[in-house]
Parts: sequence; C-alpha cells; structure tokens
Amino acid sequence: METLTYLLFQAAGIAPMIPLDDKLRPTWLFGKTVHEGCDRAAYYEQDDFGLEYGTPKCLVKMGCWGPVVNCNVTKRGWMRGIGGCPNVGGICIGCTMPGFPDMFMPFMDEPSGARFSTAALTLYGKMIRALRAITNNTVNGEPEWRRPGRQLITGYQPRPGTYQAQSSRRAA
Amino acid sequence: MGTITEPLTETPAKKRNLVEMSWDPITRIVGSLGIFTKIDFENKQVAECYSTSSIFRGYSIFMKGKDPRDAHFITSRICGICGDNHATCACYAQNMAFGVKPPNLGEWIVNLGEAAEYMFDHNIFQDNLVGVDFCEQMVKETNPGLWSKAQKAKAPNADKHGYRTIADIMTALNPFTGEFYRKTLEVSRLTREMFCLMEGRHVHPSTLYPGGVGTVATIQLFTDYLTRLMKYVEFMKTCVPLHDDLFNFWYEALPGYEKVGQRRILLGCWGSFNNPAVCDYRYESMSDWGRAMFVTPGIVVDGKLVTNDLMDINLGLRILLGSSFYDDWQNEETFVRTDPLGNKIDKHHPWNQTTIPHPQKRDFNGNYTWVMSPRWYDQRTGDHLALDTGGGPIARLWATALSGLVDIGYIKATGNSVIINLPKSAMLPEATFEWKIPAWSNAIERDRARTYFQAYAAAAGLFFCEKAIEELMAGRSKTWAPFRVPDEAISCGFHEAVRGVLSHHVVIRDGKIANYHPYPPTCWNANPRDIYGTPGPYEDAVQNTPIFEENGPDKFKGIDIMRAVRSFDPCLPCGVHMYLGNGKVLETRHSPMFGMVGAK
Repeated sequence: METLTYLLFQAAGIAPMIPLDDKLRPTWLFGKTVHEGCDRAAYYEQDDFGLEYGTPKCLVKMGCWGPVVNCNVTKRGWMRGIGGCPNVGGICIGCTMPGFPDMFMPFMDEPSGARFSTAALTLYGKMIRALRAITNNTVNGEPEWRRPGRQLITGYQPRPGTYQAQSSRRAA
Repeated sequence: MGTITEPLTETPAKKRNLVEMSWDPITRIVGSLGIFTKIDFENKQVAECYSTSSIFRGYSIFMKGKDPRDAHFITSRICGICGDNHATCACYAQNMAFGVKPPNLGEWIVNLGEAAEYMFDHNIFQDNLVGVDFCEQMVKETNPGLWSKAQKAKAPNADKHGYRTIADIMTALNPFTGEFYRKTLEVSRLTREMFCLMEGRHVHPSTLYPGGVGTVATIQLFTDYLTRLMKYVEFMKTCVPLHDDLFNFWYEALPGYEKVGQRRILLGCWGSFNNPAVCDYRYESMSDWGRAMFVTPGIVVDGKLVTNDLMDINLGLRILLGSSFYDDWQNEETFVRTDPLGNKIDKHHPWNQTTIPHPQKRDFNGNYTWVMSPRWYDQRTGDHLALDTGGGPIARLWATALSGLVDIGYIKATGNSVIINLPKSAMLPEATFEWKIPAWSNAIERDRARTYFQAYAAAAGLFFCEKAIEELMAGRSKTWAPFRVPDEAISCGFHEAVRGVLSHHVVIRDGKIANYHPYPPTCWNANPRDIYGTPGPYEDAVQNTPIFEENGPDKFKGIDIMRAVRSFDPCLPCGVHMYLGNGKVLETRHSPMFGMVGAK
C-alpha cells in the first residue's frame, strides 16, 4: 500500500524516482537482510545458538535463513511492530526471495552455508562472549560511592559553612 | 474467467419461464467461485443452482516427495485468509506422524493463536462483509419496503448496544461511513495483533512447528494478549445483542425468510482447541482426545448428534467424483488398506486419493468444477451425506451444544445450548449469552451463530490465557519438544478452519511425503453434484430459495442468493459479476466499496 502511495506521489511529480534495487524491489523494504535487522543477531555474533525452538537465541542452527534473505520484517514487525519471524522465534524460510521455496527446503535443517560461517565464527564468538561477560559483570555493580552510610565519598568538596559541610563534619 | 462454459441447456421437461443468472466470481480475493442459477421470477424462487470453481491448485500433487516437516510451511500458503488454520492442522498431523506431544504451554499458545484467528476473521467477515448485505444502502436498493419498516422498528436491546431502531443499526453497518462498521475494523486489528503475539505472523505463522511453538513464553507475552482480549470482550457485549436484534427483525419483517439458504440439517465439525491434559496425538486414542477438545467435534443430522468420535469421522470420509474435472483413481495405488487399529480404509478415503486432473470445458450437464465432492459415509443408512459447515460457527456450536462436554467456567455446553460467560470489563459489567439450538440451518442462523462464536472464542481465549500463565508460574516454560521423523507413517490432523471443517491426511514413506490431502471447508460447502446426483451444500441451499428482493430481472441484485451463499463464509465477496441470459450482460459490484465503485 505504501509502495502504491509512493508511486502515486511519483506520478504526481512530488516524489523522485522510486528507489529500486537490481531486482526492481523498493530498497527501503528489501535493501537489508533479515539478519541485519534481527534482535537475535548478537547471539550469532557471540556464537550462542539455540538448539531447540522456543529460546530467545539465534535460530540459524534450527533452519533460519535470515543472514542471506532480503526482508525488513525483523525491523518492522508484522503489524504495528508486533510479531515477525526470527525475532519472535520463527525461522526465516526465505518467503520474500525469488528462490522461494525450492532453494530453502527442507526448512527445518540448518542452511549449508550457515555451517561454514558459524564454524569460522566459533573462536571469535566464544572469545567476545567471555570478554563481554566480564565487562557485563563489572558494569552490573554500582559505583563505589553509591552505598548507604553517612559519609559522602563522591569526591565532592563542600564549601565551608554550607549545610552539607556541617553535616559531613558531624558525620566525621 | 479462464474456463470455457458450455451454454446451459434447459431440460425440456421444465415449462417454467426461467432466467439464467450467474455470479462469477463470488469469492474473496482469488475470485474463483461462481454461482450459476436459473431463476423463476414469476414464482419468486431459484429453480436451479450450480456452484463452480475455475481454479486448480494441485497441492496434493506437489506435496509428494517433500520433507514431511515442511508440510505446515507449504500448506499454510493454500490460503491468504486462513493459512494459519492449515499450518495448525498440518502440525497436528505431523505430531501424530512423528509421535510427539508438545509441552502444555506450547499447546495453550497454539490455542490462543487460533482463538485470536476466529475472533479476527469472523469479526471482519461478519460486519465488514456480511453486514454490507444487511446495511442501509443495500436494503434501500433491494427492499425499500423493508427499510421503511426498519425505521419504525424499535431495537429491543437498544440499552445494550445504543441503537434505537433497526434502521439505526443498518445505518451503522454502511461500509466506510457506518459507525459499527468502522469500530469493527478497529477491533479486528487488535485481534490480529493478538494472533501475531502467539504465532508471529498472520496468516502464515512463523513460530508454529511440529512439536510445539517457537514463541518465547513470558509474562509480558500473555499480558499483551490479555489487555487486547479484554477490549474484545467488551466489544462482544454490544456486538451480540446488536446482531440478535438485526437478525430477529428479518424474520419478523419478512415472514418466510427462514427459507432463504435453508437446507436439511447436515452439519460437520472436526473440533478445535486441543486439551493438552488429554491430547497425546496418538491415532489409537483419538476418540478420547477428540472429545476433550474445547470445541467438540461432531456430525449433526436432522438436529441429532450422529457421532462426536473423531475416529468415526475419519473412517467415514469419502471423496467422490461426479461433476468435477478429475479422473477416478480406482486403478491407482492404495496407500492405506487398514488404519493402525485394523479398520478397513476405503479407496475413496483421502489417505488413498490420487489426484488426476483432467481439464475440460465447463458443462453443467456434465463436469463443471475443479472441486471434488467430499462426503461422509453414514454406516447406519449407507448414505453419502453432503455435510456442510454452515460457515463454521453454526456447526461448532451445534455439535458442542449437543455433546454437552465443554465446561470451563467461561463456557458451558448444556446439551441443548451453549452458555458463554464474559467477565466484567473496563466499562461494562459481566454478561452471559446463551446460544440456543435453532430450528433451521439457514442463512440467518448461520450468520447469528457467527456472532455467538466470536464471544465463544473470546471466552475460550480467557481460559487458555489463565492456563498458560499457570504453566509459566509453575516454571514449565518450554514450548517445544524434539522429535524424529520416521521412515514410514500415516497420520491425520483434524481442526476447524474459520469457516469450518479442516483435515490433513498424510502418508510418509522413506521419510518423505508419499501422499498428502488437505480438505478445507469450502470443498465441503462449494462442491458439485456427486456420482449419486446429490448436490453440494451451496447448490441445494440456494435451490428453491425464495426471492424477497423487490427488484425485477432488470435491476436484480440477487441479494437473497448472496445472503444464502455468503452465510457459508465463502471468502471475500469483493467483485461480483452478474450475467443475465439472452446474451445480455450486466456487471455490478457488490463489494464493500459499492458506494464508491457503483454499477457500470
């Protein structure tokens, strides 16, 4: 519908030529891959794959074709931002692609290309997952100064004679 | 249409002055259903009716050799309206074939998705498509006399829905401008969001799998569903009384209207919403888990329940030829001789069907459609019954009511009615609706049942949501169970698509699909005369339908025929072309946009 509206604008001379890719598809819909918009892509990057359905992890090992399919469903959701495919637990079966369905069957097996890519990623993924876990653990702690007690240890130096100066003197 | 049609030759025995009238296409979106009639204008009656489809799909042919796990992804593409029903039914069949029982939570999520689907599709069909046949603009064009009556008729439930007269209701149903029409569109959107929460996408679900669902079950998921559902519950409290007033008025204002679309009570329902406490998907225990469904399966003949046993239902299925463009498969392979319990399986059972298309000219004295004739073999009488689904709800409510098995607080089947209890919502107090078994299977009652079933689906949704949250709180958050695909298996899935019975029959050999036959509701409703000459449900519901329209042949819109056919929910009535005999072609559009498009 929005594509038709765009074409009407174009016909009326209000909008420039509709941006199309080499397959004549509007680029705002088909310019990015499913994976590029997927909120599970970080799991892939960290070599953290779901090995059953129903987890929040990356579904590539379960048959998801998202890394090589042109579609923006993961960014846009299905309606009013709700639903979608890999982002909500459904493998991408490539239904927006010219090669659908033959090139994607059987759907529930890992795409052969993904086997190579994920193998190449193992070392890097495991390493950054471990490093991130360390940093994540650190930043989950509160700063030193934010703790209960009468002493102010933020490093702030109250000016003499103010209320804070008196109260911190009393505490000392 | 692409199909060449032989001219209708009138049988010489008929002396009546008949006018041929045809509506082709009559369906939603794909527009492949055509209704060809001969109308006796002097006696105000439809004399003959032929239902035809000009489209061949071939799913049963190209499913062969595919990985059985792909079945639900592919069969969901059968339809752009109820693809999720196919996906669900295919998953049911796969669960049986693979011997896998999904975790309870997975089952509740599927039920919640399907409940949202019924709420969505019935809602939008009832008041954005069927409602147009009952709206002010339509009634003024077809029955000006009825319009003046409606202006004087007080609406008995005015305090519940806020419309003072029946005419006010009709005005509210006007496409695009009517208040209730617009409200319905808005509510429909919410229900689709509910569906997408559970199954990812509408209508080709992304998160359904054999063994359960991939949906990540969280408290947030069910909260998001429930907040939307409660808005629908509130809407139902005005929607049900409004439709009761509207439909009752038709009976009062046009005596004899019960004859429109009336046919013998021959209803089939294959059951919906599996109960994870009972359902293990084993063929051997299908009778038990079938009866435990939250919409009871059943076959109702002349108002009596013949069976509510899925096993009986399965064994009695027959696919007959007679007037369709296919050759018989008598000499082809028999895939299943006996079921796992040793019961004999007929050559014309879907498990043994081989589809042999044979394109030809459309000839109403011979073969005229791409739809075969599914029938149910009644062992008691030896009849091949032409069951219909009545668009879904009437058969579901009837079978559930007579069985008296469903009792979940929000819904209770009493043996002769179904009681639906809706809780207090934002602005309105509790409400109880009772669907009582009607006297007829006709257009008005099919339409009325649809509204009641919307409330039923909402009430069931509340129950499923509570159950799902219970599972989650108990720490059982898995939604999917692993399985292995066997080399050899036979299985079946039974479900209710929005507009009625749906079955998928599968034969697996060497780990691949050897035979696959989906039977959706419109095949049951729109089929032609079978080898025994028994007409299909549309045909015999329209045949002998009286004509109440005040227009003569020149301005004839065929509204009573439309109401009869559309009561079966035959997909979107977007473009309807009318053809009158004597070479005179009249083309009109009865689309929801008719105010904008008009006749041409």
